[in-house]
This record gives sequence, structure tokens and C-alpha cells, in this order.
Amino acid sequence: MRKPFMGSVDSDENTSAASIHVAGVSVRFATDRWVLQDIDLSVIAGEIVALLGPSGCGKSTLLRTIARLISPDSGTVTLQGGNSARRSSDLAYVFQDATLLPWRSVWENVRLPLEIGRRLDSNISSTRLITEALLAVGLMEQDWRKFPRHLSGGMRMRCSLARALVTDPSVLLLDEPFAALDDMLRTRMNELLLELWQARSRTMVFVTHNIAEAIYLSHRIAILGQGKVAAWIENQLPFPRTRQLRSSMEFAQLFGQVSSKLAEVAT
Amino acid sequence: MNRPARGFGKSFQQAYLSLAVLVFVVMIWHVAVVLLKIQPIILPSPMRVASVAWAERAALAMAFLATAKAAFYGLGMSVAIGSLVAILFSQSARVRAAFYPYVIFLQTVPIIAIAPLLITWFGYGFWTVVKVSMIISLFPIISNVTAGLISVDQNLLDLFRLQRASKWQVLWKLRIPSAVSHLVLGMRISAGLAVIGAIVGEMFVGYGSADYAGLGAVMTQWQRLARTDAIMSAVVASTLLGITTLAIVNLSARLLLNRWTAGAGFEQE
Repeated sequence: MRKPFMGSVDSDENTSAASIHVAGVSVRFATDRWVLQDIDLSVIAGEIVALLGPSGCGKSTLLRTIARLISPDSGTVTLQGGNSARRSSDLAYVFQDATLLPWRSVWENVRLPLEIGRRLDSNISSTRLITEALLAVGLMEQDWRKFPRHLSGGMRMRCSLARALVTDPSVLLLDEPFAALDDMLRTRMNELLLELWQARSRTMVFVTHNIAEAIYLSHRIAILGQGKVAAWIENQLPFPRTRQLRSSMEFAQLFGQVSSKLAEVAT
Repeated sequence: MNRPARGFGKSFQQAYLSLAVLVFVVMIWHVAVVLLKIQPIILPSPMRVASVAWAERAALAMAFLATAKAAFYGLGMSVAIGSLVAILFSQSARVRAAFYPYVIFLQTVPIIAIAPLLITWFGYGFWTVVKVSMIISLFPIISNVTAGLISVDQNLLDLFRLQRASKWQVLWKLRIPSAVSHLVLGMRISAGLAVIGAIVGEMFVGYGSADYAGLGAVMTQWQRLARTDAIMSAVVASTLLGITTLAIVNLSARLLLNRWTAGAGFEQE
């Protein structure tokens, strides 16, 4: 039994968020070029953590390590709770570009994870899952048969999000997901992401180099520098977050705090 | 939609230009033959070639169809065998390292040199011609499809890895679909080669049998009778066959494979 995507927020065993524990993780690319050095990081179930840092600080590598796309040279990554830490679809990853299969329509792209996980046993339920995921990201029925080349950048990104959500993962990892979009669209996608989180409260970790985005979306911000977590910044801004919040005093204060920390790390 | 129409108009215009060149060359040819009083056995005039082509239309049409059949079977076999080999290659870098040099070797062997061998092994007949055609047109399929299967976008591969897709799923749902456009590119090159292979094959094979006359066989016969004008009409027929084969490849790719090739970057030329 699977819960529909837009189901209510609950702590049901079947559909709960997972916590992430990264312990002593080091990754090196060349023999002596350490990208990550002895990183410890914990993300509580249902929390949103932003990984912020100058380019080349290893934030994407850290995310890929959490996703197990990279196996660390030392240290461990564990996922606890959620559906089952082993189940492949329990973790979804959103890439910087939409990474859609060009020969598949929107609908077929979103169906892909269900096909790979061999979870198409009952057509009706998979149709429902896909429909719900597409509607949740704001893709309307007239776009479902379109191919990626006929979609705008924002719509492609929505499709990519729907594909990540269709398996109802307990962890969502996002690697600079909206970096290629213009500011207006980026703001709208940020709001969409928050809406999705409020409906489900899944654990999210996202990489960004945009301070405003990091503040708007997160509970906590990890600032990375030279392969280490240089600082943690608690983000006490209340939920639900609105567009007005961006122009509030608290937001500006936090922005100043984050950017000065970032400047410290970068030098 | 506006764009295809405009694209068509443009290519139409380009077709006019190349047609003008053809007309010009044929005129020069005609004038040269008349003014220099060249013997028809050395170089017949275009008019003479045309009239011989008309007189021999039955033989030419039959030869055209016979060669077309051999070239299509040859191309079909290269596509089938070449794609299978490419799939094997895509599964292991070791297999590639071990066998790819021999595939290149296959490319460098002059087909004229092995045609007699093929006759020794397989006899005089249609299928020997098909084999020659296949061997000549195989390499572009193998190299293009292998490249297509291997050069898959890294993020897409990661997406499949994240879902713990099996090797089979990666092949079937990612590698093969993204290699289709490369297959079409390979087939465009191989289409012409398959025709060449069929004609070369017929020059050796068709020579021995009276009942089988492809363009290559017909040309060999006419050459022995010193019918230069008839040979030239067969050359024109061969060229038409090459163009027809390429057109059929392009058309069937557009009709059948559009989903995989659209937006792959080579449709606008």
C-alpha cells in the first residue's frame, strides 16, 4: 500500500521522512587532492538543509556522496527511518539541468522511476501516482504529452521535480536545481518547493550558491569551505514562508550574517 | 508550423543551384564531344547515352532492381549485425579494447581483394553479393552505434544509477534510445557504401551466371562488348540507386524514428 503523493502530513511508518548521518566522510579525486575532509553532518528527519559555499568547495561532491553516486574514501553515510534505507526509490536527486530523456514525453519521463523500480504492477495506481506528481508541481494535463524540447526551462524543471517525487522518496537531494532559471522563475520554483515540503515534510538537502535561496528554503545552512563544514547557521524564520518575508528585517539580518560568514570562508 | 516550409523552400533553392551545375556540365560534355570529334567508344555524347539508356531500359530496370535488392539486404544485414556488435562493445571496455582494432582492420581490407575469396567460399549467387555489400557497409554502423551507446549523458547515467537500474535497463531504456540518432547517421554513410558493395560484388559474382544481372554484372558484360554508351547509362542508373537508397533511409528515419532523432541536432542541415 502506497500513500498518494498529496496525502496528509503524518508520521506513518510507510511514508515518513528519513534522517541523514554523514560521519567522517573524506573524498579525494586525485591522489592528494582532497575534496571533502572528514565531514560530519546530520540532517534531522523532515529538515531542510542548505549547503552553501564558494564554487569548488565540494558541496556538490558532498551531495553526490549522500546520494551514493560517489563512494567516500573513508567515513560513512547512513539513512535512518523513511520507507527503508535500502529501497532505491527512497532517495531522489534533482540535477542542475532537468536531465529529461528527450525521446520521452513529460508523462513518460515521470513514469521512468516507476518502470525502473518495476512498480508498474497495477496500472491504475501508477497512473494515479504520475498524475498526482504532475499536478503537484503545477504541470497541467495539456502538457503531459509534450516532449522536453517543446517545454520552457521552468516547465522542464517542474517535470524533473515531478519525476523525483513520483516514488514518494523520504529524502530529496537537489543539486543547484534552479541555477539555470531566471530570477522570477527561480523565486516561483522556490515557493513550489516549499509548498511541496509543507504538504509532505520530507527531508531535503540542497546545494546552492544563492544566499537568498538558501535562507528562504532552509531550516539550517551549512557553509562549506575547503572540504569542510566551516559554519552552521540556524535559520529561525517562521513557516509558512511568504514572499513578503524576503523583504523583512529578519531576512536582511540573516542575509548579512550568512554573506559575511561566506566571505570569511572564501578568503 | 512555419519553419519546415521555409526549410523546404531553402533546400529547393539549393537543389536549383546544383541542378544548374549538372546542366552546365552536361552541356560542356556535349560541346566537347561534338567540337573535338571524340569517338563514341571513348566518350559518347550525352544524347547518345540517353538514347541507349532508353533502348536498354528493360535491362537497366531489371539490373537496377537486382542491385537495389542486394544493396538493401546488405544494408539490412549491416544494421542488424553492426548494431548487435555495437551493443556487445558497449557492455565492456575490455571487449572493445580486444576487438575494436579488428573492426578497423575490416574497414581497411580492400574489398576487391576478398571478393574472390567470398566466391570460393559461398559460390556465385545473390547472397555472395549481399555479403560483399554487407562487409563494405558494416563499419560505419558499428563505429557510430558504439559511439552513441557509450557517449550517454553522465547525469542521465547517474539518474539510472540512483534508481539502481540494472545493466539491462540502462541499455534498453537509456543507451539504445540515445544511440538511435547515431544509427541513422551511420546508415546515411552506409547506404551509399551498400550500393557500391553490391555493384562491386556483382562485377565478380554476376559475371559467372547468365540468369542474374545486376548493374555491376551488366556493366562488365557491356565493357567486354565495348559499349561505352551503355556502360555510362548504367553508371547513371547506379548513381540514381545510391541517391534512392539514401532518400529511403532518410525518409524512413523521419517516419519511424522521429521520436528519437528529433532534436538530436542533425535534422537541420
